[in-house]
Amino acid sequence: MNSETIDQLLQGVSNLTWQSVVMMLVGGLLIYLAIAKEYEPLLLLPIGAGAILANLPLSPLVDREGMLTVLYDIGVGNELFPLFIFIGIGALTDFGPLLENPKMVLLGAAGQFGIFLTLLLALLLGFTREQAASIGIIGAIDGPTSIYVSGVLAPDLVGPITVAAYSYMSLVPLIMPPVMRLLTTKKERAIRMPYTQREITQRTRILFPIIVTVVVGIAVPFATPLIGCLMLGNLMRESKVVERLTHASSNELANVVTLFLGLAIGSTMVGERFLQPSTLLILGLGLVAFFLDTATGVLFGKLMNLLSGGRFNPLIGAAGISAFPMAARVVQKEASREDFSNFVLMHAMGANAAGQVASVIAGGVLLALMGAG
Amino acid sequence: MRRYTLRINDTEHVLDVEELAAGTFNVHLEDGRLIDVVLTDHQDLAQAVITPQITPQITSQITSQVETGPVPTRSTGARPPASTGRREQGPPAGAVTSARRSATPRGGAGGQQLTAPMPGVILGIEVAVGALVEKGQTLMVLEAMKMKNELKAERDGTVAAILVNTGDQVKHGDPLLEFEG
Repeated sequence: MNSETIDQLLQGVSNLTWQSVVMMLVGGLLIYLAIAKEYEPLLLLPIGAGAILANLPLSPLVDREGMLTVLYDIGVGNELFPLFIFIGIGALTDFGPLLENPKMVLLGAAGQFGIFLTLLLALLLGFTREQAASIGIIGAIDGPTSIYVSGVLAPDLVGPITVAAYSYMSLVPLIMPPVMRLLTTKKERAIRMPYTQREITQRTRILFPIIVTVVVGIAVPFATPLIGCLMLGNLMRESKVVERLTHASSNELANVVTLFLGLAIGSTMVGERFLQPSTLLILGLGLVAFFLDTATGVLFGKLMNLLSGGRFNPLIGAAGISAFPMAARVVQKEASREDFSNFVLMHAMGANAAGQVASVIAGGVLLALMGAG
Repeated sequence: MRRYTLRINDTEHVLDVEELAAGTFNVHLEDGRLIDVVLTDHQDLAQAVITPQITPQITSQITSQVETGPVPTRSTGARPPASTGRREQGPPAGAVTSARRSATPRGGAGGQQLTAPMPGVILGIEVAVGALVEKGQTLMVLEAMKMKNELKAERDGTVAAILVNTGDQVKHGDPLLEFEG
């Protein structure tokens, strides 16, 4: 055996770089978080696996014809996968609590301030406009929206942004409560809100997704793909005549696409590109965006409390984000911590559903502001 | 919340009626007073007289029976507050009224009866009829919006009747459980 043969046999070892080792460790950490802590395991596990597979030396999976490259090309590069996911989310979302309580739309809008504040912060830290907008969108607290917007504006940042968005989303129950408690008094948290059940007719439920799509589509054309898919899923759900399609979108399609999406995103986390100071900054800014969203939501809730003469529980403001239905549950948990028989869940769900729609619109607004085409 | 505008002898009165639970209302008067009202009976007959139990919150010791007559439901054309019909199979008039309400409006498990604070499915019933329960003890688990909510006793007492079964779909304000006296 001459030295050339030995080199060829050992090329795996000789091509191992410290960056790729670190990235495999990062992949391992994501897998650990998914399994041991159950932080969004459906996404973090495939992302972690994708990161390891992509960083193995000379990995054929990220070759031009490699599976991970192909997955990236068919679904992430052209934004197809996040849109598929949105159909599934729409099929799972019940907009009933929002239709019962339409003023919650305001809270959905208030929950998006974090996006724009974070964007400004990122600009100050020296990111380009497009990058700053992509980082700000982490504040939408919505995985698919983050992937979609950053994929259009700053494809090189999709990896860290997705990881930040999903890991923080799973940390919503830990991130939100301290902010909520800090900004509200015991008395405010104990405010009870009478809930009146209103029957929402099926006609309203069916018209809602259609009208929202048309209105938003005309107002913010860049949001059309996202809102269109979200509302398509919801229309199928509420129509009650295509249960097989509704079921398939929210189960089979969403599951398969989640696997593909996770692997493809993981494969973008290649050593040299990921191990940059900017990645750490993005992770930090993402966290800031989450805090700001919660804070602005709660502050807006306090404003509504003021305007209603003390009859609005400001905790509900924190639910005006996209993480559905986690945010609403966190709000309910905080409210019942203060008073076990205080139920604000339905109000919080309304705000949460509004946050879902608002974050999509915010994504479209960002794309429009950046003049993306 | 429903706003009633009544004209009595050429004077206009504005009342804001807020439904807290089935048959339990908060009435906001023009002068800023807040009154707890329990609707004990309600029939759609010519001779029917609505007899709400009115408890002024500031002086909640005084309990006065006030006959408002059918005026509020007819004169403005407004419907009587919703969900009153459901109370027909509830306890006889007067049984609910002794519940002394605290300063904050109670929506969920107040007084003699536990009502559903929101629509959902009864996942589990943690107590049996005759059980002695303490304030804060979990009575039932209600699943609403895919979230499990523990419904707890707001007072010490004995369970007199359980009005639902596990798996039942309940609407907001449906009676779930009754306490003994």
